[in-house]
Amino acid sequence: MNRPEMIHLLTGVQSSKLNYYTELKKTIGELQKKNRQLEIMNTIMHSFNVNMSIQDMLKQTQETLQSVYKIDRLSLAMWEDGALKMADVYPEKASFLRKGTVLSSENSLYARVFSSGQDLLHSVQKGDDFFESEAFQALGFQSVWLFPLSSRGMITGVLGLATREIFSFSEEDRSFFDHLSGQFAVCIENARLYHEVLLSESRWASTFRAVPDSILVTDLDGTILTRNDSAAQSWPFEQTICTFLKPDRFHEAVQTELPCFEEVSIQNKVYECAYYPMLEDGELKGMIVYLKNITEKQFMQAQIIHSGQLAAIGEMAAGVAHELNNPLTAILGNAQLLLRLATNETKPLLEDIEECGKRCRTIIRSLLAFSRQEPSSFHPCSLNDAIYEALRLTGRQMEKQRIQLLIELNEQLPLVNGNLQQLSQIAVNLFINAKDACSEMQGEKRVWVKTEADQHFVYLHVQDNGCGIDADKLDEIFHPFFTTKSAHNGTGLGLSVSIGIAESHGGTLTVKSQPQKGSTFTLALPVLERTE
Amino acid sequence: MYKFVMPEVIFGSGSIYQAGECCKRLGARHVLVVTDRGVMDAGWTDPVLESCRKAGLAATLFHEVSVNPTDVEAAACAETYKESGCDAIIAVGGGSAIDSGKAAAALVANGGHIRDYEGVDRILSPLPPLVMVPTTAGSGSEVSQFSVIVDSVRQKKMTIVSKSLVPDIAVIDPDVLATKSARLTATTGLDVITHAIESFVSIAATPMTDVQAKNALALAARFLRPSVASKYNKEAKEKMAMASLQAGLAFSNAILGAAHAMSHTIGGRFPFLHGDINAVLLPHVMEFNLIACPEKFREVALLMGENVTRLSDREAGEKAIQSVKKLAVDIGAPLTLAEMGFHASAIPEISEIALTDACMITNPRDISAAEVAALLTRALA
Ligand SMILES: Nc1ncnc2c1ncn2[C@@H]1O[C@H](COP(=O)(O)OP(=O)(O)O)[C@@H](O)[C@H]1O
Ligand SMILES: [Fe+2]
Ligand SMILES: [Mg+2]
Repeated sequence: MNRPEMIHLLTGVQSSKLNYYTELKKTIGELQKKNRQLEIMNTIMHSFNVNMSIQDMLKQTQETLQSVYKIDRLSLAMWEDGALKMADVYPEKASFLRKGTVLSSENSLYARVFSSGQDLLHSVQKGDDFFESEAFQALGFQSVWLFPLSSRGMITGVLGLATREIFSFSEEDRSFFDHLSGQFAVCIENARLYHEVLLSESRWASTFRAVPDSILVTDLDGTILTRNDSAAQSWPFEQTICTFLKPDRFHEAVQTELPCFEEVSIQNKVYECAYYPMLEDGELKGMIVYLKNITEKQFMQAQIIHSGQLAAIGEMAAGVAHELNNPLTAILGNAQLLLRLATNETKPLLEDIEECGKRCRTIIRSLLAFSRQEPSSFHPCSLNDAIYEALRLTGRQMEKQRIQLLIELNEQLPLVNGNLQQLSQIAVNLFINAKDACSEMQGEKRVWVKTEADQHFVYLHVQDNGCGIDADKLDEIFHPFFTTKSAHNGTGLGLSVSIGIAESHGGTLTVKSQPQKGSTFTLALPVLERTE
Repeated sequence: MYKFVMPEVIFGSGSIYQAGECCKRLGARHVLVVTDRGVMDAGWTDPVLESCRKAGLAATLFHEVSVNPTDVEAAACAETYKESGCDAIIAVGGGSAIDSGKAAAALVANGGHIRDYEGVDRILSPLPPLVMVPTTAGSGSEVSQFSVIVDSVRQKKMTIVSKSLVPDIAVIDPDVLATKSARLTATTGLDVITHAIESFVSIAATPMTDVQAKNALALAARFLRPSVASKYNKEAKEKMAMASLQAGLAFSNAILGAAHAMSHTIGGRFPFLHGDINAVLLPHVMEFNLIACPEKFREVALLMGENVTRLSDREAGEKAIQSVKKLAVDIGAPLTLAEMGFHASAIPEISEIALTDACMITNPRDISAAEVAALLTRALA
């Protein structure tokens, strides 16, 4: 300093005696700033809630800070999976390094603050060679102030305040931002924990929702509180389980506070229904109604039983038929011999014996066929041929009944591997049943016979507009000896023999029926596999 | 462009009894009265304490002030202020008590060590109300922006310069000078003359300081002898009080010169009276400075009552030097550093340090360490 300058300083036009007024103003100003800071801190912290996104937190903070500090950008770097990574930035357009960028390099300012735990006020210079320098310069920042975020004694990340003007600050500001970062860290941590809980909860929720069985949570009156997707599909609008479940078991579970089970059938489906009491601290709070659709399972079980029954009956029938065959031959032979010698008086009686004998023989033959005691050989054959054969045998009877036959056979029908006689027996059975179903009906009687094929199967549909079958009988009609017909007309063996033949061909015989409207029987047989 | 700063000034017989009221007006409730043993013994502390009582102010006394007040004393003084919960300071006494009061005020408002404020404009927070009651008519500190405190570690006088050190009110009561010994009157009187001459020839002098300096010099040259001669010459005392005040105003704004720079340095090392050192050094410094502004020295001679008609400026200047020397002889002031106990071996170091003193800056003639040493050698015997 040269002498004139020193003299100037000493006699000092520029310096004045300090006074308390300015001092007071400064103090008041500081107090006001402090108050504003406290206010800001309060506003920020109160506006935060746990399910707020970090982005929203930054936005809220920046906007609230605005009244005291002109911060152009807030940024966060967080420690994640063993690395310090760029996290959220507000405003989003002021981001350069992409979210997730790892800030591990030694010349990263964020990383420096993270590892030192000390805040750092950096004024951006032209020749800066930090990891973030390019970003700072591109965004036009003059000052960047970085604060470590620490929560529960651990540094969890770095909060960055960036300004496009040079940031001048006081010790007070530093302690304010220090405090702010502390609060921020806690909020972020809380949000993180909350989201973690939420996530695991949502995992549970989606598990609950995805269970294929229906789960309904009800109160103690059966009012539905929540239902999973499957339950929502079956009962989307029901308010209470009482509209589709009998409440007895439910009440029992409520009373005993023990799980109760029952099997119920709802809308043609069978459910295994469990009522699980929901206890909280020993107090019954509600009920979990668990409905497992077992229709399929039961059907399969029934089929197993069914085929078991068939096998038993078959064996028995074969024995019986064998035993009956010889005496019946004797009866029939003798009856025919006697007929030749018959008088007018005895003739009708003997004819009746012969008639009944023949009927017995038919039944025995059917029984034998049913029990597959007769050896059968399989050849490539056409289902159409079997139908022609059957039509030849039954056509006249249909005509007699004035039944209109509508035949639609697919001439390109693929062959099947089977026994023509047996297949035509199925067709005969179906035609006769159709005829019988129509016989009692008024009005036009029709029977449709149709064949078709897809890639794997050939189909025979036999449809009538006859009496139809009651729903509860649909299962039983395939049982041997089940018949609704008089003793003269029905043996109750037609369908059971037919289903046996269908199955021995690897096919199925199914029925659809509407009472009073008619029935459709469908025979499906696998297409002959050509080995080329 | 220049500036002139000064406190409110209350001047006149019996004004010492105003001290308490002055503080009250400045918002004080509890005053720290800074003084020294000598002043207490002379009985000038009592009227101040009494005036405080009358004004309804609590007062705490601090009297551990020595001739050349140290940083330690200033710190102790500040400590007493804080401990007692004071909110204003009255200093009663010579330059030592007043400078201690100022330093303590700076410390209570700014904290730290007084060393932190050495130099110009280092004080950042305003000081508590300062009311100064000078009892020696010499230092001028009651109106100045200076405080000179010894750094007990470096053994050096620190000059603290700040507009904030200008007291709020200076209460100048010439009656208090009556108790001064002839010896003390002489030495403080010579300080006044040194202030007047140095500030007058200072390169920072302004028309406003010149008025004060010239008046002070004229008064002191005329009334110092009678004042030393008799404790009871009321007129002489009053004139010396005015001379001291005006010289104070002059040097506070125009600063001083080489004599004070050296004097401050020696005072930091030896327990000599400030006025005595000045008295010995002043003629030598005047001789050295003469070529810088002979016309000013002519005026000095004139003001000191010398007949300079038909003399060249230079001759007139030399007369002024003679006049100062004569005055010193007349009032029995020491004439050489040696007789005061100063040793030649201290010269090199003193010269170095003196160069750095703030007062050196305004000395009218540029000066080197060698020249300072030469001056000291001449003053030695
Ligand atoms: N097309 C049909 N329409 C209505 N009911 C039928 C039809 N086909 C079969 N049924 C029912 O299934 C029962 C069993 O048929 P089946 O096994 O052929 O024995 P049967 O014809 O000797 O009664 C029949 O008695 C009848 O009640
Ligand atoms: Fe002095
Ligand atoms: Mg039948």
